[in-house]
Amino acid sequence: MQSRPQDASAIRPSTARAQVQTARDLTTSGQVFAEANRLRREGRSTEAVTLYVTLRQSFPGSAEARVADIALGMLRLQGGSPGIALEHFNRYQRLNPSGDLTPEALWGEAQSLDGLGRAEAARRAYSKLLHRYPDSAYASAARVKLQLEP
Amino acid sequence: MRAPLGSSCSLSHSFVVHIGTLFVVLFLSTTTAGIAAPAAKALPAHVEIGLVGRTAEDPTLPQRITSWFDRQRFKVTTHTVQQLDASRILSPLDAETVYIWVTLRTDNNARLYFATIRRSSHDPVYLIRDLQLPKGLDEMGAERIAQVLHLSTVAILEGHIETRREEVELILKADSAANAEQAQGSSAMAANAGRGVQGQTATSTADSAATDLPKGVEFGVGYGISFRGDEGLWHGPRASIVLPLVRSFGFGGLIRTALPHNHEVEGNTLNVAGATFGLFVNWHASVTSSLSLESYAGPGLDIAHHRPTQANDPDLTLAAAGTEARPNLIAGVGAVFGRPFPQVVVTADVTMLPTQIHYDLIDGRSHHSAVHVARLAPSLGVELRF
Repeated sequence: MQSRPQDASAIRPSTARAQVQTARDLTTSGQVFAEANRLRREGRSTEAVTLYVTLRQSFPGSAEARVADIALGMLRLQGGSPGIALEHFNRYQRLNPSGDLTPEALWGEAQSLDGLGRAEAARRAYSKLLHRYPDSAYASAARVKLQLEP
Repeated sequence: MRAPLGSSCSLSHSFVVHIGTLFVVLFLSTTTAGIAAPAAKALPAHVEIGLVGRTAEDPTLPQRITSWFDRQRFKVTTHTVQQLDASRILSPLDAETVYIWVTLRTDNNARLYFATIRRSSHDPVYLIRDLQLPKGLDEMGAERIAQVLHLSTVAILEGHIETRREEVELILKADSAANAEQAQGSSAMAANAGRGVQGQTATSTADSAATDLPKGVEFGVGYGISFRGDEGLWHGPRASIVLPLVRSFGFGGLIRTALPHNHEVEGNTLNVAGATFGLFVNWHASVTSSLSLESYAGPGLDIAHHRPTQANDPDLTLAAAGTEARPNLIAGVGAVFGRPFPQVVVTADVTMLPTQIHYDLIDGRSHHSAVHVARLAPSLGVELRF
């Protein structure tokens, strides 16, 4: 399993080993996804992230992997890692340019850029969101971010 | 000659203290929520989520949704409802709360309704989000709902996106019509499954509760009875008014009349008429889409006119008629049936007098016959609420 530096630092080795073993026991993308969701629901975010990453790597073309990208972006954003969150939100958009969760991915991208202090890039993302999804939940918030009239 | 017994209605010290304490508590409980707006940044945002119909069948969905929300920043509650209540969607109560309903339009399509109140103008704002569920409400479908619900809520709180009320009414109409057709086993729902919101809006002609928009203030009229001990059974028309405050709380007033009636006391006849006025703080909670419960408590005032009309002995002299004001405390519960409007409200409450009150029925110079007013007077009432 490929491990990113941030991921490795966030997970205790013993926990990570146990988690990999668990992942091996799960044979389908649906099983891995369900287990990762269960861990997330229980507040075990670090372990959930590990399984979501495993899911993405083991079943890259699965529908679950696409939803896992959004979950990973959200968890990373909540965990204070906007840089990694940005990768996940961007990957979802690359693989699913017209996906059902594209508004969410764009919103996540803009939020991540905000979190990274990349103000100009964040403005472009909010503008794109506003342009592509003017009636979405995120449009008015984007207007506020762009200091337009909501 | 002895002086006749006078009416006694002095307030006991402990009763005054209890009433005072009650009002301090009620005042604080309502104003604390009411003054939340200026401190909105520091206080958690409230999110109320209704899982409608079949979405409630997934036992993991509530936790799946709530676990996305940071407990420090959001206070999230979920509840199940049998079907959409248009009036609740169209009338969000609290600027600090985002109200959300999760519905399944078809097996493969979820619809999320969001409603809140704009902080700046206090206007209600709405949002509707459709979400495809390729394999229904399975693991992935439920997770997608949770993700979209969380991110949309955060965005709404940051930007207050709005859909015009008229659009929401039309969409609710369409959903209501589709639900009715579905209940009748019609195949129309399947035909609608792939349509977008605009398509539904254009084809909808059915009546819906959405057209019966709720008022901010609710009025009730009805009839009630009250068991008053020696003064018999008070009964007469009654009316109430409830103004929504914050969240599930309201403030209201009531008036209950007691039509003139005769009652026998130790063989003597007493004629009594009166009215009860009350102010109360009201709390309500939905049980189902067509049943909610409420409770209320507050101070009241009975105005009673009593007039002895006939003695059991012609040699006895009747006491003089009198009119009294009797401060009291009213507390009760109610069940609200039906969908707006009107609704049928059945209430049961008790009126508590602070101290014993009694007055003479027969002139005390010749005979003693006192009427003792009930200190605890249970009441029942039925109202139509508009």
